[in-house]
Amino acid sequence: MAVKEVLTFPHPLLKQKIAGAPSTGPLVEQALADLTDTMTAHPGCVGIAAPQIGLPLRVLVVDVSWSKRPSENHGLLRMVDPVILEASQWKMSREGCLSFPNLLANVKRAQKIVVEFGNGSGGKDRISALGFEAVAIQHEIDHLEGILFLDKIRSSKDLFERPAPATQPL
Amino acid sequence: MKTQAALSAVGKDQPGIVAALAKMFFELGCNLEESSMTRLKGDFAVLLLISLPDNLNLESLKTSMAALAKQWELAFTLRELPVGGDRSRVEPNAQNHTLVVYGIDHPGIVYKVTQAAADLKVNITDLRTRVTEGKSGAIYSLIMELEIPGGNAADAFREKLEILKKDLKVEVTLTPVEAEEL
Repeated sequence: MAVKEVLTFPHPLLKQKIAGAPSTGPLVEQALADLTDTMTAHPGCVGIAAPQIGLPLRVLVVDVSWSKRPSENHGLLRMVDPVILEASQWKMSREGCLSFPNLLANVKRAQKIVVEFGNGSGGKDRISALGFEAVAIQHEIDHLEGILFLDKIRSSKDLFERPAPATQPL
Repeated sequence: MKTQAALSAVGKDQPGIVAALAKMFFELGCNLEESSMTRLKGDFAVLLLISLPDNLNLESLKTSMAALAKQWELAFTLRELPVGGDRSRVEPNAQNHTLVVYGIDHPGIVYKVTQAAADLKVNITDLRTRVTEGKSGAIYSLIMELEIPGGNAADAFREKLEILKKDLKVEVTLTPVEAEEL
């Protein structure tokens, strides 16, 4: 087990666009394992990206299968350099983020996406994701671009202090 | 012409404040028009415009409001609005934008950002701030809805914001609000 410390704002890596990196190899495999362990160690967390644990890699994991919001999903997704090919059905929903432990925001995201990604073993996968899983993937891909969910707020009424207990962080 | 009044009230947050206010206005025959109410840490703040029925004057409303304020421990002001009072003047070519600013809390963020807006005649129509605890100190978030005049004001404002971003060590996102026609 390698549960890593989760970086919080204003750590500079969180606002950095991560450059392309190897899609396979021990570094990527270790990152995927650490991200999975770190996500699992945070109750309610359904996704985490490499910059959040201090790694400048285009790698993330998402798993909404045990979410409080039941939705169609692919279980644990391990993604290397993911690219969204199609996005549709835009809708506002409320998000949290481990890197901003006390804030929530309404953010507009596609409810239906097609995403292509390296699987860590040299191959590429392509999936169609819906609903909360699609939202989680977009949130984590934004982390690879140095975009945080606060950057996506479009109304002064869309930022909230997180009530306890926590809403599901992404 | 109906009498209009503006009420501002603030007091310790507790369930029932809005219902008590709405009940009083309903029973007095007042019409509750534009309003904004929110919780600010442990307090609840109310800003609203009401129109009074012909059989009610402002002094009578103040008397009722004072009784309610005492019961709910609210501090309030109530003032009559000028007849024919209308919405604030809007630049014909103004474009709506949302500005998000966040960073480690320190004095001057709101002042410097709003002064930059004022210098370019950018009108602030809504402003919210939050202070939340972070591992490296409190995080200050400022979100404003703006009307930016036409011409090159938006570009000039962006340039000023880029300078402030470095000076204040904050993150800044300015986005035009685009209405979707359905």
